[in-house]
Amino acid sequence: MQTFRVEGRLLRILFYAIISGMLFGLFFALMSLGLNLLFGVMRMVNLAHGDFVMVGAFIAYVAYTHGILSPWLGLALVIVILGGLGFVLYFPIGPRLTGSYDPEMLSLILFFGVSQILEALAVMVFGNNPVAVGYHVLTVKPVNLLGQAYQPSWILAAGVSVIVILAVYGYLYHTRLGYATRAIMGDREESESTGINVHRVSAIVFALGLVTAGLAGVLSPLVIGSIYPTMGLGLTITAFAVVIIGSLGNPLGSILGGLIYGISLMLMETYLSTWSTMVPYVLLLLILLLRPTGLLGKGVRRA
Amino acid sequence: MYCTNDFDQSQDNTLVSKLQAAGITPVYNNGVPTSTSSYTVLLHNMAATHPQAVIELGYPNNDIAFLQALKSSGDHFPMVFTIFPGQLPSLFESNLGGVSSLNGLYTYPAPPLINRSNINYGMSLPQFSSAYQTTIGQPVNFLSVAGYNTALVIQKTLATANSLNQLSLRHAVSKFSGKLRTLDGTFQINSEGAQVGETLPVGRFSVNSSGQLQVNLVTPLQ
Repeated sequence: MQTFRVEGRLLRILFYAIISGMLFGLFFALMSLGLNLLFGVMRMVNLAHGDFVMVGAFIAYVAYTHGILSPWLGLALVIVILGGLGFVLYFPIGPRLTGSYDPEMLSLILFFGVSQILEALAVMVFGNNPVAVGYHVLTVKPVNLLGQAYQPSWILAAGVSVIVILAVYGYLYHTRLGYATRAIMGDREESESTGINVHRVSAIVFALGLVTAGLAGVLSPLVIGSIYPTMGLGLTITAFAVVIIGSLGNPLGSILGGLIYGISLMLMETYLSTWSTMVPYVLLLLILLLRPTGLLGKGVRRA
Repeated sequence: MYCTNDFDQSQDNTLVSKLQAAGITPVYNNGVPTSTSSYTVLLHNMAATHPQAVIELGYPNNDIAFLQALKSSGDHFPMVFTIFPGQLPSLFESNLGGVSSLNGLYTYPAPPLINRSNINYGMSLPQFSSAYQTTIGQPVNFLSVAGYNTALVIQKTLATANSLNQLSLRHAVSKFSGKLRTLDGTFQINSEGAQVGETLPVGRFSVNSSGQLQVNLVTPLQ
């Protein structure tokens, strides 16, 4: 009887880690989606990706401190601000980078600079201390699922992430613009020769990349707690791990990568917590050694 | 639970050895990386061991993330201790959504939450609080007290030393070591010149009838 009780407890802990890992991973799937889109379409390595997540988080923070208490309004604000910024920013940056001899390396250097600027500006404006966005959902009672309590904030963040990911999937596979986007992912020059307005589509994808990062930023207080100006670097590294696990250049791979990352992290926190931050790096190494194209990769990558 | 850095892990080692010496074996004693920001699953795992008390040793960001996860996870423990709320209460209040979130929490209280009366050098806490508010225009906090305390030690060193060479400064510090009592406690160095950390009291937060945070000491102020 005692053995059954112990086994039951161990199973419950395992089950909790897996479910929490899935919720956590879905958020990270959304967080890394923009990085994947930008690389897939423009071969741009956005080292400032995590900083755009941070910008989204601070937009939500500023909105919250000015009385906009709903995360939904924060999400709408980010869509407008980062969407507009992304669309406008693409034209002075995108065509030059994509037309350069080495867009991957040059974009990596450019966005490293952008990352430093965004971080420094955020420190100047908000200081170094962590701040919180006290959304109401953080105080809602936990949801009981199969006898165990899960945070409603995580469920909300995972749910919104799934909706956004599905919307991006719908855009890619069920709209004319999405067909054009995938055509550019396949071969930029051939797409241009068939009459696709490559720069217009790229600008939309660039804006979409920043918007998805910003949306993850708005949701980040629900999942990772406090926000702070230097949070971007760690998020960028995790996002890289997630997209490489799934497949760099394949947006659907972000979902798989996110789930694998989230579940692995929570299992590590459960059974070997001291080493839990090694998870993204170990997964990254394993994937690069065993399947360099990523789990959903079909061919040889160009980067 | 502790963060795997020198500051926290050394405290955990001491704590566990003292607990074991007293016949208490921790049911859960695990380290997490200092960069940990998600404590939900860790809390759930701890709750599964039914501890009588939870002691989380981390840096401010860890304590904030831990307490936020505790607040929203639904896990309850009879006693919870974290280090930094007693030093940076306003930071924790703003991050956790008000004073009520800190009610009942155990911590290391530091000035201005505690007021040492037997000082023999520099301003007392009420005097410093008033001067700081007048000069800077902000309420005093532990960091400003610690900064003032450092300045007091430097001032005393310069006042005591015969010259500015290293040996003379060292002799000056040794001379007043253990005798200098400021608003932040007794300044003391060991034989190797390292500052001896003082034993901080443990306090428990409560919210008074006017809705303000106060701390009740559960171990004596030394």
